[in-house]
Amino acid sequence: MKRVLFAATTLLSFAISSNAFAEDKHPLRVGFGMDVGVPSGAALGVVVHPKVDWVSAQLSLTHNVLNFGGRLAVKLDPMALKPNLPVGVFFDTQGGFAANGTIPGHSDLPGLGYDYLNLYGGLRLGKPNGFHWNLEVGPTYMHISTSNFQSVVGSAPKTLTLGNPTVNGWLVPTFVTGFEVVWP
Amino acid sequence: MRTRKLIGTVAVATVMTGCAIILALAGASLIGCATATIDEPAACDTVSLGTVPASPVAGVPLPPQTFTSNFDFSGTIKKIGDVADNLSANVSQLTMNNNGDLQWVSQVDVTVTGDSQDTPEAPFASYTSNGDPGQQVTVNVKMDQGTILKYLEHPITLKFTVNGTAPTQTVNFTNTMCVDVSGSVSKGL
Repeated sequence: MKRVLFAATTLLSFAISSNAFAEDKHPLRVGFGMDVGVPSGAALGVVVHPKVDWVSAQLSLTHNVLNFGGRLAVKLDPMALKPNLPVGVFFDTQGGFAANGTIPGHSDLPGLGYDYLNLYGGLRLGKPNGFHWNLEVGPTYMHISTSNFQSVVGSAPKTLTLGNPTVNGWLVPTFVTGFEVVWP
Repeated sequence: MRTRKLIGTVAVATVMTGCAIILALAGASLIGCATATIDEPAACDTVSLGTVPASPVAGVPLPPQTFTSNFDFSGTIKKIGDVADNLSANVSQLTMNNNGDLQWVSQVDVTVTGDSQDTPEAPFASYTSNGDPGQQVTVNVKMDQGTILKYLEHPITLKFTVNGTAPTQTVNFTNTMCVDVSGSVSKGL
């Protein structure tokens, strides 16, 4: 087992440092991506590879059933230094928000919105340019805010007013999976 | 040829590494958890305290005036306690309001009584004038947070004893109390 790991590590190091796969620098590559996950919901975004393929950014419009939101992701994909590798492992930091919203058709219920920070590790299936599928998992820090919480008072005295509670904390694990298409 | 072989080998190693990560994360998901703090920033209630009649002569010492008000934040505390542990409660606002000037108020002492045997009448808050408070007297809570929580878990009665000089116009007091309740959640998924 140690030998296999050693061999894999050596090959990986060699491949990354080898001049045989000199990085193909380019001014800019753009593409698009779609994914689903928790807590981001469904996302559709623009992907940019600025100069190099091992760094990419994605700006997405999201929707979580309650309301729209946005997400900015910065991905470090060291294995994209070798653009012909059809797989890779990468790190992805995503910051996003979901605007406050209520369950459709139930605007009388308390609303919910949140900001989040995803710290993901991921697996890329496909070359960094062209079509590839991503699987990402990791911890999420969330700041959840509510609205119209007064509606839950129910039978309490009518003069009692409630502020809107907030929740701050970590959720482990969360995930996102989807594809990206980047024009070579 | 050699290059292709190398790419293939690296690809296999990457897939193995990726699979190992996915498996590790899948394993971690079995012991997934959520840790969070929940905060209800301001559960507030306003009640009428009573009236101080107008005096025809200004500056006459006023006999101590006693008012009581009833509050019930126990439902709010229970709702948060249903989902969170380690509750803490803080009185973020305790005020006496009037539509006129309250400069005539020199001191206010407040006691609290719960509706259970372990919540007897106890000193709760006080106010000593150090200037013109305008239309609102903010009473400073003296009780510690742990004891406050114990009382707020029940309906409470606040007794206000107001000292000062007699006002020249009728004063209708209202009393507003706001409570900040927070707790922590730590649950396995």
